[in-house]
Formats: sequence, structure tokens, C-alpha cells
Amino acid sequence: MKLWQKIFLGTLALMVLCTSLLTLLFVRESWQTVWDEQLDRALTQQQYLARLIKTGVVSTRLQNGLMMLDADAADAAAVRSASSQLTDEFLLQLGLYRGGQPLERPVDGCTDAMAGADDAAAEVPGTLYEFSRGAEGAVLVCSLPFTAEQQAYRLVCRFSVQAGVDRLAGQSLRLVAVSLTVSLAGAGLLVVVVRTMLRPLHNLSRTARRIAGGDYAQRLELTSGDELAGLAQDMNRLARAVQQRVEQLENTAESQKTFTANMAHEMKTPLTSILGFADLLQLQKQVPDEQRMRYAGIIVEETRRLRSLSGKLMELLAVENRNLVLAPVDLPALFQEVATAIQPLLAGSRLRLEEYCQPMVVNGDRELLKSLLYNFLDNARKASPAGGKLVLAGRPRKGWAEICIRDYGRGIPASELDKIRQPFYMVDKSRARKAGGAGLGLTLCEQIVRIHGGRYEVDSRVGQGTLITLYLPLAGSETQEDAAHEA
Amino acid sequence: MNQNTQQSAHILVVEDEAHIAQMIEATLQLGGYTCENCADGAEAVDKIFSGGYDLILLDVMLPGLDGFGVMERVAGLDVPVIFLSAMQQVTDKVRGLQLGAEDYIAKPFEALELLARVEVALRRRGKGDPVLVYRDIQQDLGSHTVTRAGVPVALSPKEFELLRVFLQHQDLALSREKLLALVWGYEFAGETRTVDIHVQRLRQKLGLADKLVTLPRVGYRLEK
Repeated sequence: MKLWQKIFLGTLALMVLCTSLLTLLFVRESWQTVWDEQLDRALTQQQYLARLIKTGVVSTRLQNGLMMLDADAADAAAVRSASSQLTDEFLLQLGLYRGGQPLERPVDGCTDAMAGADDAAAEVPGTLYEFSRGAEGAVLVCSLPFTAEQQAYRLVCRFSVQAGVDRLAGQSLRLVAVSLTVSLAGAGLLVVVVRTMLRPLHNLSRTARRIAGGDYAQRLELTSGDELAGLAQDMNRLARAVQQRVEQLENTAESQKTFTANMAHEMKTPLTSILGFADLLQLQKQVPDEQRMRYAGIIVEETRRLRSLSGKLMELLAVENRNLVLAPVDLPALFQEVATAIQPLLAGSRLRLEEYCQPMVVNGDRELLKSLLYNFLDNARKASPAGGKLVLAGRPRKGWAEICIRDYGRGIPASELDKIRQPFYMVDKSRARKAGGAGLGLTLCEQIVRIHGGRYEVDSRVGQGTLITLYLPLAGSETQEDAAHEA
Repeated sequence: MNQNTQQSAHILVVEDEAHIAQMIEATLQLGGYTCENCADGAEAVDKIFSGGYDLILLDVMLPGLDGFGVMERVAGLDVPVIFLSAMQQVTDKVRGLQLGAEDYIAKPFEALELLARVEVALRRRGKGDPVLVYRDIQQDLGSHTVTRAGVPVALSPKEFELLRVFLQHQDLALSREKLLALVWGYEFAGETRTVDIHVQRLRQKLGLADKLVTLPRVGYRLEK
């Protein structure tokens, strides 16, 4: 069952119950009123009749000039007086009783008690009445005791109260009709209101279905300010979270795919040369010395390239899978170590390294940080002309260790700057390969910097050189904790 | 390599990796073709439009205009193109062939595979060698007949193909695996013993016992 149907039926049932109860109460009240009114009228008329009869008996005595009428004379006077009373629509019949016996015709529906059978036992005989239904409709029989000439009589009257009952029935019918109409009108209004209020639910479920179907950009717009709007907001948050996660996953998958494709290319290119030239050497019956040397030279060169590529790939894998243990690393000492390690390489290109560092400590993996600085310096070396100079400088700055690696070499064109961090990207391919590059140096650096919670910027001008500014969080600083938290 | 002058097709090699370009050039020369190298897509388009090439070997990954771009531009010209690519995705291959390429060779490839594919592409365009000649043996690829000193010799289809491979690759050391691949196809999962049997029959039928030599642990070579 739908929600609106449930709300509607529930409220409708409650409403019908309320109106029915109210109607019932009202009908009861009216019934009481009508009944009281009928009874009142009947009793009033009966008392009036009783007085008339009494008066009739007294006037008979006075006419006869007696002090007292005997019982039979009184009876006769009373009966005469009573029978002179006219019956009408209301008063159907009347009769007199004395000592439980009718003086004349008995009245229909008169019981023994009403006839006064028990009066002798009672201290004060009371007025009795009874309501009944018969062929004449609703009938009220009343019995009123009175005394005349020291005789105890009872006047019994039969009244028709059908008119009152009819009026009551008409009133009740109207009441029921009114309550039904009110209930129906209320129900109709209720349907409209409930459906209007629940209309946003359709929107919600439609949008939810669309989101589930993969359209993660879908958003709900509900401004009603009620619980549904709150739910819509929650669903929007949910959709946004899913969208972000999916995009993240897609990006990761995309970059992994690109990485794999590039790696395949980078591996197959040297392999193609190696296989081809080796094949040529093997196929031919006689290979001139000069040709053999050239082919073998190329094979060796391309094999070196593969070796360098696999080395870098292994390094990258190692960084990704390394169980990172961060320990305090003294930067000035680290600088010296790196400078010593790279010295033979720099000597080969007659390059001079200026290195200085203010005392500071970062939390990190010593080997990875060394590899990081080495890679940056190696890049600087490859870009520099023979006889030039490289600078490696460090200083603390606002909770960060700021490390600059500067060369005065070729520089990187502005159009290439945003691409250099991509794996396997080389600004000058043939030149980079001759220098033994695999295009993975910055990728490696990026990984190391990332797991240390740092960042780096590249500033370069063609012909003037390149400045790498590296930021690592200082040990014990807030940035360190933030970075560790984020990592 | 043989006396038929028709073999010297002129091939344009579009490849930006210098070593691979050199290797392809050396391999094509081995097959008796002349070639020209070009390392840039846009330049290649100009060269192809200026004409004079029987076949284009086109690398897909080129700086600037890539191989597919080059192909799109020269598709109107009736020059057969073979793509060379390190990309192994099927979609790349399909795209290359849809653009109208004759064939698609995945890197790395063997020298003989390249020669075989080039030969097939040229032959399909009627630029291949219809008659191969070796001493008194003539093999007509068009009519599928072989004569020795003018006398027809009956060969089975595989023997015919094997003879063609030997005649086209004279003086080269051909391993049993390569022969199997070139004659029976790369997908054929047969035994190298099959090759020995067919070589034996060729020797008998064509009197090549002393020319079609066995190279220990390597394979066979048809001496010039």
C-alpha cells in the first residue's frame, strides 16, 4: 500500500470515528430532550386532568349540599367528570382506577402497579409511567395518584409520543447526513493535502533511480524546508560523495591505463631495436665488421636503456610498496651525503655543486629522501652545460623545510611545464635517452614527496635554468601532524 | 638478391626512433628494397604526396601528427600502408585497418616477419616479384609453376611456399621456427620435424642437396 493511501485511510478512519461519536452523543442528547419534553407535557396535562376531575367531584358534593360523598357517589362523580374529557391526537385514552380496579373501561397497557395495586403498601404513592411501541406507534402510559373525598384514585392516561419520535428520527437523519458530508469533504481535502505534501517523494525516488542508474551528476532541488528537503539534502550529499569517489576511481584507472600503455611503449621501443639488430646479425651469412660493430653498439645502448627503465620501475614499485617508517632525519647531514654520492657523476660533466643547509630536522624515510634529492640533482645535471653550477639549499620556513634545487641550464618551455610530472614524459626524448633517462624521475620524486606529506614547485625559464622548490613538513611542527594525518 | 629487377620497390619508413628506423632500413635492404626515412608526421605527408613510393611503413606514435593522422591525410592516394606500433590494443589495430591500412605489425617484430609482410603487401598490389629465379630454377608466383632447366617440377602447395621463402631469402640463416611461421603461419602449432621433411623433398625434387645446407642447431640456408 502506498504511503499516501496509508495516511489517507488512517486519518479518514479517525475522522469518521470522531464524527460518529459526536453524532451519537448529540442524538442521545436530543433524545433525552425530546423525551423529557414529551414526558413533561404528558404529566402537565395529566395533572390538569386530575384537577378537573377533583373539581368535578367537589362541585357534585356542593350541588348535593353534602358534607361528604360516599365512595360510590364519589366514584360516579369522578367517572362522569373524566368521561367528559375529550381525547385528541396526543391524549389517546384516559381512565380512573381505585384500589387497583378500573372504575370503567381499563386503559390499554396499564399494568397492575399503575392501576394502584401496590399503593396500600406504599407510604406515598408515586407517579408511574412507561414507554412502549405498538400498532399506534410510540406510546406513553402515565399513572398519577390523587385523592378525592378521602378516596385514593389513580388517573391513567395513554399518550401518543409518535410525533416526538418522528421529530427525533428526522433530526438524527440530518445529523448523520451532515456528519457524513463533513467526513467525505474532509477526506477529499485530505487526499489533496496528503498527495501535495508527498509529491516531492516522487521526485526523490525518480532522482534516486537516475543516480542509481549511473547519472551521478543528478541533484535534487527541494526548498520546502521540511523533512523531505532534509532527505533531499542528504541524498545530494550521498550523490556527491558517490560522484567524487567514482571520478577518483576513474581517474586512477585512467592514469594507470596510461601508465601501462606508456610503459609498454617504453619497453617495446628498445626491444624492437634489440630484436631487429640481433636478428640481422643472426640471419646474415657474412656481416661486415663495421656493420657488426654498429649493430652490436645499438643493441648495447638499447639494452642499457631497458636496464635504466627497469631500475626506475623497480624504484617506483619499492616506493609504492615500502613499509614506511618515518624517523627524524637531519637535513644538513643528508645534504652532505647526497652531495658526496652524486659527486662522481657531476665530476664527469665538470659541474660544481654549492650546497648549504640551516640546521633542521624532518620526519621521513632517510633512503627515500636521499633518492628524492638525488633525482632532482640528476635532472639538474642533465639540463646543465658542462662546467656550470648547481645549488642545493635548505632553510626552515613557517613549519616547513624549504629546499631549493637550482640549475643554470637549458630550462623547460612553459608549454611543457604542466606535462613534466606525467610518467614517461620527456621534454627532449632523444636527448633524455642519450643521458639515460626513462622519463620516470619526477614520477618517483612525486611519489616520495606525496608520502612525506610535502609538495614541490617547478619554476623554469628557457635558457636560464630551473628552480625546484621543495616543501617538507618540519619534525614536531603542526604541519607535520596535519600532513601525517592526511597521508 | 636475385636477378629480377622488379624486386627493388621503394619504401618510405616513417619512424621517429632513430635506432628502429636504422634497423628497418637494414632489414629492407636485406630484402632488396630501397628505402627512405622520415621522423616527422607532417613531413611524411608531404613526401607521400610528392609520390614515388611503393609502400609506406608508418609508426603510430609520432611527434606532432601521429600515424593515424598521416593515414587519414594520405588515404586518398593509392599507396599501401603498413602500420608499426608498440600499442597492442585491438582497437588501435582495428582503427588502423579501418583507415585503409594494408597491415598492422606490432613491435617488437622479427626481421623476417617484416620482410614477409612487406612482400605480401607489395604482391597484393601487383608490385611483388612474379617470377623468382635461382640458377636454373624458375618459380612463377603468378601461375604457381616451378621449372628446373625448363622442365616443370610438381610441388605440393607447402613445398611451393617453402621454396618461395628460400628463394626470397637467399644466403640467410632461416631457423625451423621461422620457416614454420612463414610457410605454415604464425598460428600453426606444428612440429619443426614437418619443416625437415619438406626441406628434404625440395632437395630431392630440385637437386639442391649441396646448396640448401643444414646449419647445425640453427636451421637451413640457401647458398647463393
